[in-house]
Amino acid sequence: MIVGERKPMQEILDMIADHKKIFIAGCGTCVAVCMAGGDKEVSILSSAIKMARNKENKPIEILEQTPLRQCEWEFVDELKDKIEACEAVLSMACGIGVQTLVERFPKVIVYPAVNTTFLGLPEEQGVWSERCGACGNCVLDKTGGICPIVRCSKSLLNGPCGGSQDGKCEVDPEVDCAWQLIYDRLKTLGKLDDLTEILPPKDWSTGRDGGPRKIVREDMKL
Amino acid sequence: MTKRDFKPKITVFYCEHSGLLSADMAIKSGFVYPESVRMIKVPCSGKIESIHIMRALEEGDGVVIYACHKEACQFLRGNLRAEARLAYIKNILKEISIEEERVQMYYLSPSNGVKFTRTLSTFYEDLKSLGPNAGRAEE
Repeated sequence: MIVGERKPMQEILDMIADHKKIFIAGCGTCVAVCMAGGDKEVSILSSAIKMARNKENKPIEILEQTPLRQCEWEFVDELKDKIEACEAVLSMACGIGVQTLVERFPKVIVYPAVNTTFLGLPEEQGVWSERCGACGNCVLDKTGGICPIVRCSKSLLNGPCGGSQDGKCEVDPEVDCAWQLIYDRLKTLGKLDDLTEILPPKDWSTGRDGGPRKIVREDMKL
Repeated sequence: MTKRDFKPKITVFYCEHSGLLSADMAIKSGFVYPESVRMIKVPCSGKIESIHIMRALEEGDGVVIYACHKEACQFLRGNLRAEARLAYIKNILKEISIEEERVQMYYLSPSNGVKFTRTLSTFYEDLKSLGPNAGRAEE
């Protein structure tokens, strides 16, 4: 899922400084699960903004709603009335949600209240970590199901580097060395021989280096 | 309004396994709540969500949570959750320059009317010194 975290309050307050009535739009999917922009976070942010503005003697009116998803037309359409009733929208979705609103409501000002951070999973309640770099060319079949692109600090395809010590990364001793994890996993699977295969330089044209990406499925079009 | 006239509006969330019994004992011992104190009983301090604290503060001047002592929670970790949520709220208050002292948490045994009286009275007086919550919505 997409993982994000709320922007610092001051940054948010600066964005909406000139507005007297705003709409805070949450998202009930990824950012709700990572507790950055779901229903509860929308209410907390709304409350914090109101208090901050009352303190400045510049009260603000805030409408709130959290659609099931902010990244699909049919779900954002249900926000139309509230969006049109306000001067601006503060989106607590990921960057995709913000841009969905911008594209669907071109005349409306939309501000991001969340920093979209990475694609990952909740390791435990309250802890999220990165698992996928969305590189567009998955190599998990060759690395025991552990991604060297995002879990190795240097994105090495043929690791480990010389900085791996006691299973930890030299970049951050709190971080597991991805190549140690890959080695351990392949050993468990009895597939250590897979490591003798040298992976060629990665074709990054399927990743960000190839420009904005798009998938078209003619068979799925209506 | 002078500080002498100011009556802080306080919301007290209290766990029924500790705060309730301590409050009862305090009342039986002659303690009288200031009229601007609103008491809200919860089955466990862990039931208090961050938004409850924020909304109470939005309408008032201070919030107090009475929870069971650590390791004495009937639901094992409810008081620890409340403590973590309070820390989260204090960070938000710091970000928006509202005094963190406006939210407090106290741990009680089920029969500590004396501590209940002392902490609530002190908190009330502290808020009187601090003055009205500048973030509070006008009534």
